Formats: sequence, structure tokens, C-alpha cells
Amino acid sequence: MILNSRNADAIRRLLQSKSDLNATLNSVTGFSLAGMFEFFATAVGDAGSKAQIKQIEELATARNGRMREAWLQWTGTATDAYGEVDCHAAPTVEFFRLRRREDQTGLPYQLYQERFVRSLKEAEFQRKFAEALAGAMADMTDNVIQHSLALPGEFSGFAGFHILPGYMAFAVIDVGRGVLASLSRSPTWAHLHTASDALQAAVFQHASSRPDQPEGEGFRTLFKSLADRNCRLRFRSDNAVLNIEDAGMHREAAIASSPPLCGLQLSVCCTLKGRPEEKVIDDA
Amino acid sequence: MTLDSLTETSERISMTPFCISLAPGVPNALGATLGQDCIEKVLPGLEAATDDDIALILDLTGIQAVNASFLKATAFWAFQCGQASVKQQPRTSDERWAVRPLRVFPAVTGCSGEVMSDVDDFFSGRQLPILHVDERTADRMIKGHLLGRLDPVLEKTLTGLVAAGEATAAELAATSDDAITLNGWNNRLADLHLLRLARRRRRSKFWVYTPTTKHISVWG
Repeated sequence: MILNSRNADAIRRLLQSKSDLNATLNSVTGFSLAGMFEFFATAVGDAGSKAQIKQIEELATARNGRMREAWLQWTGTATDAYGEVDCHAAPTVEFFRLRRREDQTGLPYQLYQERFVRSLKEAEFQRKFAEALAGAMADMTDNVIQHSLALPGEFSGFAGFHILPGYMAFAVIDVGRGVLASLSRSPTWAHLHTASDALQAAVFQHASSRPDQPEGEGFRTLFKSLADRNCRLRFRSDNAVLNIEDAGMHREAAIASSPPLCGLQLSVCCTLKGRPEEKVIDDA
Repeated sequence: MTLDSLTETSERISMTPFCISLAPGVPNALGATLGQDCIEKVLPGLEAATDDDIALILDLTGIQAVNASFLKATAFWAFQCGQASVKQQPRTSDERWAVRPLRVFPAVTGCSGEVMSDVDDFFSGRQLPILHVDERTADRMIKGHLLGRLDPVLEKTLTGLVAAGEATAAELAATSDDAITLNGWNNRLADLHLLRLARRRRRSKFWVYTPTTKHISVWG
């Protein structure tokens, strides 16, 4: 089974059902960036149970690969998140953890963005498009800092990208308060009562929780950067999930219910040619 | 000496530096958080200037990329605060980044080609102008050009004001062939002030307007 965004919940339920852990572990033959991130978020976000988190950890760390690296980095158990990073590399996969405000504004994130752009250019993406995507990703991580916390404390953000020739995916997740709770602060958007309405308002109407600025720029920037491209976007918050497929001039959106979880998870994948589908991360 | 000049009262002329610069300090100026951190550094200076006009110059020299969230949290936020000051609107809320009345005139400087386009797009989309400073001293803006959008009528008024150096509505009306009332000239100049392109001070019962830089041209 491939752990992608479609079956992240199914795999989590398998773990929750106390079925044979080894069988579950063995059934996962590969994973996409979006699937892995959503799996982490749903697991940590709604579990509240140390036993469940331990199961996820076992699944994540069973192999010495990217999932283990991601899990250790997100949960903060990696000893030095940036110590082994080659600043001038063009990696195919890389993660970035957001715990403090400085994580968004500091040099390590600037270098991360530059590696993202460099990797995209090596994967045949034009410079301007690559920079626009980096800008969009930066806006998505910025949302974690701006909107995810209800009370002062540590942020729970995590970002990552996966790039192959002609293909790119990035994902940003947090297990904070979620879109509905965030928008409820705003007099303009306080009338929204469901996660579905809140998610759609944020994505399509650019709803923002800032009192003086009822419209934000983040999702507008995201869609602008992806205009007329073959891309898929997935947004998940509370019990709502919004999938958007954009094939150039033709854009389709579908809103659905999902098992509840905290925060906001979003993923974007884009291909230069052909239908955008989540691709499996080479975990060799 | 006329009786008018003997009875003339004038607002205090600011002796404090007119300009405050802020620079992101990183090559990619992206996101509201970075913008807020930039503003945070100069906010005490802006808030302390209750009797003085302050030009807030966002220095984008060396910046490779800028986005709308960053501009919204910096130049546009300052713009909103400046307008709140003109309209005498109180602070909107206790939120850290609530709009509050500040005598601030935002401008940008040092933009490269693509960054210049991005700034232009951002302000054009809001039907607003922003000054790009091309030449300045440590405490004064000398020369600049407009990005964003300015109504052609106001553009013409600004050109007249720049040529005059400083003027009241009556003085500007006297130099123009436009068939509009004095009240119309007053409104145009007040709009330029609201758009942060002209400063003003009281002289007797009249407002005297000064362009924020000696020379202003329109980009593109």
C-alpha cells in the first residue's frame, strides 16, 4: 500500500485497530510527501494517546529513510536539524521544522528556500516559476506563524518538498487551532460555523483572521503562482478536506468530510506535463 | 510687511529626521512575519513622532524576491496607519498589528526590476500609489518616481505641486488653466496628502502642501 494523502487515514486506522503492527508496517510499500505529512498530522493531531504516537513513530522509524528523517525532525528528536545540510545543494527531498518565529525569518529558512528554487531549476522548472513557488511555500509556512497558535507557545509547523524532473510537491502542516477557530477571531468571518465553510472561505475568498485585513494574501499568492499549471492542491482542517485539481484552464474543486484533526494540512503537487499525481519518494 | 504676515501662525517645523529606513536584511522578503519583524524595529520611532511627519523608507536593495504578504505587513500597513492619522481614526483594536494613527509617509527604495514590478503590481491592484525613492540624503528624500496607480487628475496636481515646491490650493489654482473651483483644488491636494504624496502644514487658515520629494516622476 502506498501511503498517499488518499489513504493516510486508512493506514492510521489500521494502526488504531490494533492489528498486527508488523503486517501494517510491511503493507506500506512507499509514501508520497503529502501522504506522509498528513499521516503524521492526523496521528499526532488527534491521537492524544502516547501509545498511538509510539505506533506512528515505529512506522516512521522502521526504515532508515526519509520518513524516519522527517519524523525525527518534526518531533524535534533530531539532534541537529541543519547540521548536515549542504547549503549549496539541490536536494530532491528536504524538510523544515517551524517551532519559533525566527524559524520563518532566519537565515536557515532563506537557504532552504534557495535550495528549493535550485532544485526546481534543476528539475526543468523555469526560474520565474520556481521563485513563485518558493514565494507560495513561504507564504504557507508564514500562515503557521501568523494563524496557527491560539495561545503563546511553540509552533507545530513542518514543511517539506519533493522534486523530480518535471515534477514538484510541497507540503506544509501544523497541528494548531485550525482554520475555523482562527477565523472566528475576525468580525468579518465570525459568522462561519463549520470547518468546511471556513476552509472554503480561506481558500477561495482569502479570508484572514486579522481584524484590519479581512483578506489575506497567502492563498491568493499560492493560486497566482500555480495559475494555468497542472497541479493538485489539498487542504485539510478540522473535519473538512478540500481537493482542487487544476489542469491549465480547467479547475475543479471538491469539498468533503474527513476524520477530524487539529490544525491545517496542505499539499501541492505540480507537473510540467501530464496529470498531476502524488509521486512516491525514493526511500533508498 | 502686511497685516496678514504679522498675524500669520504656522505649525512647528519639524527638526527631527524626516526619514526612517528599514531593510529586511535577507534576500527573500517573503511573508507577513518577516515584515512585522522589520516594522517592529522602527515602531517605537514611528509611535514617538506624534507631532512630526516621518517617511518610512523600505529599503529593498539587494532583495531578490518580495511578496504581497510582506508588502502588506510593511509599506501597506504604514500606508493604512498614515491614512488613519489623516482621518483622525483611533487605533482599531488591541491586536499587536492593528492599524493605528501614525504620521507616516511610506516609500520604497532600491528595487531591482522584478521587485519593482511586484511592488507596482501590489499597489496598482489596490488603486494606490507608492513612492520609489531614487535619491536621498540621510534625512531627506530628494528624487523619486511613482509606482502603483495615481488618478491622472491627481498626477497632474502633483506635477504642479512639485513645480511649485510648496503651495496652497489658491496658489496652485492661480498657476493652472483648469476650470475647477478652489474647493476642487483643496480636495485634490487633500487627496495627495491622504495618498501620502504630499505633506501639509497650517499657515493661517490655509493648508500649505509640500511634495514628499522635490522631484517626482511616474514610472512606466
